[in-house]
This record gives sequence, structure tokens and C-alpha cells, in this order.
Amino acid sequence: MLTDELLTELTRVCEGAKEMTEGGSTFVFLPGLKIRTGEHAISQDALLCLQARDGYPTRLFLSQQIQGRGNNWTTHRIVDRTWYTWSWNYVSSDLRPAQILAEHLRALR
Amino acid sequence: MELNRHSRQASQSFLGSNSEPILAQARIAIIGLSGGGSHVALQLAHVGVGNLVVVDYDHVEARNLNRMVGATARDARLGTLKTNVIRRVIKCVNPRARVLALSTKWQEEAENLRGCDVIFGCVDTFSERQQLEAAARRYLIPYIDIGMDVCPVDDGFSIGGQVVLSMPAGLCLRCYGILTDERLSREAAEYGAAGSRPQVVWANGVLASTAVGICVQLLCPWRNRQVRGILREYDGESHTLLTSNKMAYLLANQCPHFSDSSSVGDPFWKP
Amino acid sequence: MRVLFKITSSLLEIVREDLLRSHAFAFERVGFLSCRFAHLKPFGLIILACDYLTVADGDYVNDSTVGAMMGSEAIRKALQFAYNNDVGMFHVHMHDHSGSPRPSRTDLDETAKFIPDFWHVKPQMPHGAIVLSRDSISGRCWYPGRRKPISVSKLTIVGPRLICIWN
Repeated sequence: MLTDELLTELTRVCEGAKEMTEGGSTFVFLPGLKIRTGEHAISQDALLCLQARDGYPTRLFLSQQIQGRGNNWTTHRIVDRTWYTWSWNYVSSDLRPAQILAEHLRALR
Repeated sequence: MELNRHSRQASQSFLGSNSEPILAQARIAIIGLSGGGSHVALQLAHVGVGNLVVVDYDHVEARNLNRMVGATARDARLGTLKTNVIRRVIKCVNPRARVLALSTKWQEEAENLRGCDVIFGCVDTFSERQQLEAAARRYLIPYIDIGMDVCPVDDGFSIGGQVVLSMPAGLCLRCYGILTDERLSREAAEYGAAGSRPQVVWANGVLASTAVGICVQLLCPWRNRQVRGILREYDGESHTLLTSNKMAYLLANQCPHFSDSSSVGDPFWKP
Repeated sequence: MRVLFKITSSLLEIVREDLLRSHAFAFERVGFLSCRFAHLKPFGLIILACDYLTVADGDYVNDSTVGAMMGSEAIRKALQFAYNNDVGMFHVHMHDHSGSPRPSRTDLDETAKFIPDFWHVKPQMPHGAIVLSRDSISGRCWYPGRRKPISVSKLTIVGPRLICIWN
């Protein structure tokens, strides 16, 4: 479980951030997350996993694939919605949640 | 020749006088239609399941012909959708069956699974199993998983596999030791390098038949015994399917992974 | 609208055990199931029972004209539970016979009065009523925006045996 302080950190980045659990894993739902891709900014729902999952120490899932960004996109079903993620590993779970999010988003710029 | 519509009932009357309508009204999903899934689909059609949701995004290729029941050389030549093959197989056996064929990744049509009575997972990866089980638990649906594997050993190869029943409020794939962080990590590390996994029709047949038996036992039990958690392990060397020796210990415990009631239903519910 | 209801056999067993307990003056007991929901394609609702809220002994009103009468505190606790847990609430009680249970005139009149009150705390959630018999179950659902309840068409008890009851 995230502490209130750490969840507040994410709420500052994405209003409406909320914690969700499934199958023993904890996720943070980020509605309408603003994502910079090159010179454009888009807005999508996202799901941040702050603990190890599928061999990744942390992972960011998006509600839609982003064309021209990221490699090896895969499809997932988590918390009863469909998500897409790309191959971007080694973002440590030791970082603060907002830093983890920033590191994942860096791959999409 | 007019088919005697009661002939199936006559042959499986030990399932109970109500078994025919129970099976005819049952709605069952099969995710993955190749090795294990094709056997499951055919057998469910034979026993009289009336509503089937069959899901696979793939087309038949020549390499599927060693194990995909119902697939023909012509299907491989034409690249027929696996869902079309399985729908054909089901309808040939049970023309009355209603088949919803989804030629897509199951994750993109998961809403179609919500109303199912049982879900069969005949998928290739542990990641898919993890997701599918969680989706089944969310809708209080019993999930029956089958998997086989061929591993190199000192003097050749070892064929193994398992059939697992993951019941809502019961033990899950993590409890059974089927899903582990180590397996998921290794799978992620090998992504793209593994190629197709070796599969053989006889082992898939054993696993699929057992899985179908478990499903029918849930719907139309033929003895007054309770089906609790099931983990059967397949030894391809001795051709045996045995209850895992972990079960006695496992059944004494509660599942800690799905105990949170917020994991049930649509967490984004709006009327 | 097609409405399905699902409950695990272990949760149903908890409900039955509670409803079968005797009470100092009430002839029968009542309780609440908290539920979560999802839409069914093409146009339906699935109701998933999650937890059971017992009505405490002291929260019954002594009224010999009915089998059981909840006091205002029982309803307040159920409203609070719905609000705190973001769930829909289904009133549940049992008829002592075998076969498909049908709500009595009193059941229909009373539930029509207080079930819609749950929309004051959770307006977006369906709420409703479940009736058990010794060996069966039936239900009605008040769906947001609809004045009249909808009968549950299929109830499934998920356990060592999958029992599907069609109404």
C-alpha cells in the first residue's frame, strides 16, 4: 500500500490518481495523464505498477499504444480494463513514485 | 437420418436427469484454441454445452497441424482463423450450440467473458494466465488452466504439465505455485527468443480431457463429493496424472491473493 | 435488461447460518449483502455479492405483525456501509420452505419503501433484495434511474458445485 504522502506526490502530477489492487498487486490509476511525445502532448489514462510484475521492477501501462514510440508493445488486462505497454525495463522500485513515473515517460518523448 | 436428440442424454444419463438442460444453458469460454483449447472445445461440444465463447487471434499454420484438433492441411494452406476452425468443429458435433468466436486478443474483448459460467485458459504464457485468472476472479468465475511443457534433461526430454482449478474464494495459481515471480521474470527475459513451445497432441489430450471432466463435475456432479481445489500434475514419462502432493497442505490454507473484495466487479462502474 | 446475480457458496453459507439463528422476539432474521457490479453485453447487469452485513440483535423492532422488523439503526448502519465501501446493498431474508422463493406482499411493500433510500448515499449503485428458501434463491434489483425493480433472471451459486437458478 502507498502512504498518503507518496500518493499525494502522484496526485500533484495527475489529479485523480488512485490506488487499486488486483491479485495481490498494487497499481496506481492515473486518469488523463499528460504525456509528452516529441513536440506533442497527449492525454491518456495510465496504470502505474510500482512493484515487480512480469519480470519488470516497475511498469507503466497506457490505455492506448503510442505510434512511433516504444518497442514490442504488448496487451494486458488489469483491473478490468485493457492496457498496453512497451519494453522499457530497469526502472527501479526504490525511486519515489513520481520519479518512477517520470522515468517511464522519458521513453516516450 | 433424423438425429435422436435424446441420444446424448441416454449415453450420459449418470450425470443426472437435468444434465442436458444444465449443459445446454451453460456458457463457457475457451481462451487459446490450439493444442489444449481445440481438444476442450471439441469435448464440450460432445457433452452438449450450449453456449461457447472461443477466443484466439491467430491463424492456422502448418506447425499447428501436429496438435490442433479439427485443423486441416487446407486450413494451414489458407491461413484459416483458428476461431473459424473451432466454430466449424463445434457446429459439426452440436449444430444447436451458440458459438461466439472472437478473433482477437482476449484482453480486448474481455467484457464478453463476464457472463460465463466457466473459463478455460489454454494459453502459452504465465503472464496471460495471471491476467486471465484475475479477470475470472473478478466475475466469480471458476477458472480451469491447462499447460504442458517439454524440457531438456540429461538423457533427452521430459514432458510435463498440469491441470488446475482456481475457484473464487479458493486457492489461486500463486497458491498452487504455478505462478511465481521467478517464472514471470524468466519468461519476460526470454521474450522473443523462445520461439514456439513444443507441444504434442497426446499430452494436450490428457490435460484437456481432465479439464473438461472437472468442468462437467462442477456443473453436473455424478457423485456426492465436493470439488475443492484441484492441481493435477502430468508426468509424460509414466503417462500419469496425479494429485500434487502439495494439495493436503494447500487445502488447509486460505488464498491471501484475492481476499480483497474490491477486486470483484468493474472498479470503474457507472450505471 | 438481463440481470445476473452471483454469490460464492461460502458466502451464502455465512448468510444462511446467520439467518437461521433464533432471536429473542423476531420470528426471522434479515441481513444485507454488499455487492459490486458490471455491465453485460449486449444489455445487462451482473451483480456480484462480496460481503455480508448482519443486523445486530438490538437493531430489531418488536413487531408481532411481521416476521422481522429492522429498526432505523439497522438501516443507518447499512447506509453507512454502502457509503464507506462504495457498494450496492441487497437486503436478504429467508423463507422456510423448499423451492423457488417468492417475495410476499409485505416483502414487496416494505422493500419498495426503503431500498431506494440507498440512492441517497450511493445514487450510482444498484440496490435490491434477495430472498432465500431452504434450497433456492431469487432476487430483485433497483437500477439507478428506474422506479420499478427488475427481477434477477439468473442466480449462480459458485462453489464445489456450480448451481445456476433461472427465474
